[in-house]
Amino acid sequence: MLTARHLTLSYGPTPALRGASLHLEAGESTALMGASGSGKSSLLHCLAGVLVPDTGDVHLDGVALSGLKDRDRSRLRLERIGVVFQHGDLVPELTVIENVALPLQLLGVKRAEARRRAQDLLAELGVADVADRRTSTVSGGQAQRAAVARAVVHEPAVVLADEPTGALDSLNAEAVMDALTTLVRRTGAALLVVTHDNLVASHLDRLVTLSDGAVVPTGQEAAR
Amino acid sequence: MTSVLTLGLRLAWGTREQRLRSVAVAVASALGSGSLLLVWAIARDRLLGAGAFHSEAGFVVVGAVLMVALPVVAMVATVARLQTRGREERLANLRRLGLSAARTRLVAAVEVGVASATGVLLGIPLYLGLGWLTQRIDVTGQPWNPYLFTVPTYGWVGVLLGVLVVAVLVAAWPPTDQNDRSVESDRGRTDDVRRPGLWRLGPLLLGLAVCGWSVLHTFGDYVSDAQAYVILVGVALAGFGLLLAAPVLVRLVADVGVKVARGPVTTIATRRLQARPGSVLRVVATLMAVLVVLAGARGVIAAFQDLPQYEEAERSFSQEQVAEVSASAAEAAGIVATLNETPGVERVIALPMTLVTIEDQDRDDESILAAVATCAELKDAGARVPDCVEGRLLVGDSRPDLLTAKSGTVTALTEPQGPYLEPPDELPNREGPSAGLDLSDAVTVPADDLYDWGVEGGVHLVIPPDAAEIGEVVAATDRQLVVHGPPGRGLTTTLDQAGIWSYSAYDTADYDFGQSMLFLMWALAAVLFVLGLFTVTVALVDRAAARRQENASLRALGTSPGVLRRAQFLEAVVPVLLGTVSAVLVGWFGGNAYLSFGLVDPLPVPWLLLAGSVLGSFVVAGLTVFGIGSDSGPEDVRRG
Ligand SMILES: Nc1ncnc2c1ncn2[C@@H]1O[C@H](COP(=O)(O)OP(=O)(O)OP(=O)(O)O)[C@@H](O)[C@H]1O
Ligand SMILES: [Mg+2]
Repeated sequence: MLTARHLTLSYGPTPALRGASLHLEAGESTALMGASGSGKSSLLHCLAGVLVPDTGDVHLDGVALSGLKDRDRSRLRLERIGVVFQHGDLVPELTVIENVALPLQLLGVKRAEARRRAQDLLAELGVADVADRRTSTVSGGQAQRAAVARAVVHEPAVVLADEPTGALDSLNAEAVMDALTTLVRRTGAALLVVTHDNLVASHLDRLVTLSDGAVVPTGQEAAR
Repeated sequence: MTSVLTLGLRLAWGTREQRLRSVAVAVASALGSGSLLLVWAIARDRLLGAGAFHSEAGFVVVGAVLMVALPVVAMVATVARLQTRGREERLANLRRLGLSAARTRLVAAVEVGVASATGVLLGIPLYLGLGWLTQRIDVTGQPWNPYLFTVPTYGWVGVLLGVLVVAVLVAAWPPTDQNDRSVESDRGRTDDVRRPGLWRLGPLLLGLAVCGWSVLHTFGDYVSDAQAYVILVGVALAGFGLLLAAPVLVRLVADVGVKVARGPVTTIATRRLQARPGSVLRVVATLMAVLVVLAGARGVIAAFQDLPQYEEAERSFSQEQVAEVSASAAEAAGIVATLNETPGVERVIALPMTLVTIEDQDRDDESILAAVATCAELKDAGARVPDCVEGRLLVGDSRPDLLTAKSGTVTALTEPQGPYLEPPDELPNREGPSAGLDLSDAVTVPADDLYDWGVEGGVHLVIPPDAAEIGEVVAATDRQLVVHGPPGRGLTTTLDQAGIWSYSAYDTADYDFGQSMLFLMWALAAVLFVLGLFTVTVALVDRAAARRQENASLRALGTSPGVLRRAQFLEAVVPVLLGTVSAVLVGWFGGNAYLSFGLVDPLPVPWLLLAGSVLGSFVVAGLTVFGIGSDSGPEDVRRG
């Protein structure tokens, strides 16, 4: 499904990734842990095709992302990948439902249809009552659930989440993780969640640890 | 106290962004104070120097300065509130640290105040330099007067302190205010989509109503001071009111847009507009002011250009100068010879001037003046009488008694009377020879044809030289010498120096005043344009920075740069287009309101300016798109 091989990346003189490799399988969920500054977010951005690694490459179903033009990478991301960030990063001026419908609309789904599907999903996540509020006026937990809805509404093949529960209390974190894993399991997508929280990691099938920009080999990994 | 000051100073010069912002504040303050002083000095020199309409000149000087003051406030305010998002967060953090609201405000005030004060001081050499350059510009007519090209002391104090105070107030007040709220609610969870109040429409509607009344109402020959002030206030209200009302209009368009939006581009753009309908407008306020000035000031100038003296002066600058000399029959030949030898004189036409009386003439009536000339001579002297018939008497159609008279008497004038504009009240003693005059065969021509020409005053009658029995009269009567010179000014002075007393129809004071207004208008437009451009540039850079995070997350979602650019373009073009086009229309309407004082034809619809505004709006909106969605390196992508 999604494979990253020997990625290196630096921000100017600061190295962030030093030969990180990772493989995600459809229907499988993975927790990505590691110390602060170990390169987790950088790796996630590379997997999403937002950043292009300095060396190494990322393949999605056999297509090398680094070989694509920016426009095509955007298109691929839009169609096949869903992302959630720590603070949700919803568009503040749009309402919750408009945010969730946005990927569908960008894919060319008619407005009414897009809104209907977004509404269904929001109802399932228990935040239908704030659907018509602007995202700047809803609570952190509600915004985060909306962000999860936005990441999966178009049923992508891969869902990448960077500390989706980092700003939430444990109750809300539990709810968001439940929503995320349930939805992903239903569509059979591959899921990668960056987290510092063992509780969050316990929701997921598998654990990968990053240290100094490289994946720490575990028994499991080494066996592959 | 000192800790607050040092903290403010440290913030002003902290990060690279902060330094950029401080420099922008300093430049804005320098530009603001410099241009206010410059416009003040130019306005004083031009208007007081021209001397015409003395009582109104002070009023216009104040108007010109106010016209610049508004955009300066907009510019300084825009720049002083740059990077509000980051700044507010930082100030909120200070509040969380335990700094009181007042001290937090003080930190913000010091931070901007230092930069602004530096800028204001730099504004002084800027003004002196630009002032020096301005006085090198050669303006038709009125030379620069270094004694008038100054700013009064209260002006200096007002400008320098005013700019500083505006910057500090804007920096200190509203953001800290919002911080107090965002400290209490977590992560600034405030509803930022408050609808702009409808009261904002008030001044605009009131101003437009006054202008409309003035355009529809026909004033007599006399406009009272009170009426004039009401109309001027109305025009000003309409102009300032537009700036106030524009967010309401934008919000209205955005509301409709949200309803009809189908695609993601329109949804994003209209929602953003809905959230902050005034933000782009504050930025283009200056450009709007330029357009109001350009569209409206033409009305004021057109009113001056319609004055006959102005037209006469205009003609003498662009075509030829005309002066007149009165001479007795005996002197005439000698004076003509002298004139022809005087450098700067191109040709001289001598017209005999006579006095005509008709039967039953009321002694109180104005005397009837008659020139003796052929059609060719008339034309040569500058009169345009298309109905002239060779060998026939010409009668102006303004005097009923003259039109019905069958015969009269023509008498020689034997004392040069000076300007014939004021013919002698008393009919002069009839020592000169006289002769009968047959009026029955006269050709009636428009009185204006005989009145409005190179000769001041003009005549009621033109007698052909070959009319019966007038030979003796013509030989004895005074001559009016019409002297023509090359385009320019100073013909009368030249003649003076040659020892010949002459007079001229044009009045340079009016012309110079009109020219001064014209120069002032262009100077204002140029200054405002520079201010506007600076404001727009700085604000666009800041907007791009503020949108970076949001656009980065949209990009991560898979949104193509094209969608982001189109949304940004739409978001920018709607308010800019709305603002500039309505500015031109309001300016035009206001200008017409001013014109309705006199009986001047209304200004034509400024199509060129409108087309320019539409084009310019698209260009400005296009500029805002630059740099959106193109991520240069991992550092920039991961800045959000
Ligand atoms: N925009 C940037 N400019 C320069 N260096 C950066 C930038 N973003 C990240 N880095 C550096 O790259 C390295 C990896 O950062 P990254 O954000 O990937 O770590 P992380 O594992 O996500 O940390 P955290 O758990 O704190 O989120 C760090 O050393 C960081 O300082
Ligand atoms: Mg991170």
